[in-house]
Amino acid sequence: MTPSPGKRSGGISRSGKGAGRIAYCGLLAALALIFSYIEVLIPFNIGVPGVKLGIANLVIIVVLYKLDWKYAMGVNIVRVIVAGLLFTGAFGALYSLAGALLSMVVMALLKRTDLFSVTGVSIAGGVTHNLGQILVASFLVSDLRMFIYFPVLIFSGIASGAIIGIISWLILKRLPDLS
Amino acid sequence: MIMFKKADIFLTIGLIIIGLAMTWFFASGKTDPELLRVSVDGEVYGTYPLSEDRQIDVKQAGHTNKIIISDGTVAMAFSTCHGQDCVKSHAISKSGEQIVCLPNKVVLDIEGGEAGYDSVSR
Repeated sequence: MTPSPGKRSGGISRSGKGAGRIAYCGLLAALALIFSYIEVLIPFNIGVPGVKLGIANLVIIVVLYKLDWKYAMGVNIVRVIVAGLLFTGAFGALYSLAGALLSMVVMALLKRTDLFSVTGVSIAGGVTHNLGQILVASFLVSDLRMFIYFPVLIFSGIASGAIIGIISWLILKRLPDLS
Repeated sequence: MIMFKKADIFLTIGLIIIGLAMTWFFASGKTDPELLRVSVDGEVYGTYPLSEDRQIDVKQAGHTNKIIISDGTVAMAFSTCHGQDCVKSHAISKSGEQIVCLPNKVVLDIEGGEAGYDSVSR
């Protein structure tokens, strides 16, 4: 079976086999999960729910740039569900999943435009992650006043997105090509 | 590969502007004035703004309750009931708080204003 050109450009599987992909996804999801764990370990609370560093996004961004968005999406979903069940409970997973999916889509689209650097993509990801979470939160408590938190979450999203983006940039510079 | 591109800076500035605009919007948004609602036997007897000091006499079915609003707090000053629990209860001032006089079926509660948030799961 000959892999299609589109598959080759983004994929790591030289022969078109799925096993390599799955192995890579599992490895990266485990790495992202460890980052989630470190996130939980760091006592960082300024009183507004949802404000965090989001270091697991580091892995997601590296995957997004070194492989492609499908890997990043897969790793992200596995990471969020497992981390949610392990650390924050089912509702925590629900918030994170909404944030993760929204930020994933936005980051993939922004990356595709080629207008933004890693830092910009990461900033957009950080802010939209918070947006996704607050949308679910205000839906769950059916109260739009949750959005009173949103300005704080925009600023924290910009800050953490910028930090994670710059670190990702440093990593991506040094990391050899994975494919 | 470069660390920043022009579009990143525009994006960041745009987001900061949205954030500031929302902050300004929320800060300038007026909260509803807090109102005292007096109900007798489930029916609304009247609503009164907390901002105005006043005394309210509720006379019904041979019962009398005197309510005093002063400095934004509401207290039951006098009641013809036996228990006098309502008179002893603390003055209320925040949205959602209540004073109840069960024998006279008089309920005072405060509505409007900014409700205190319950804790939200992380």
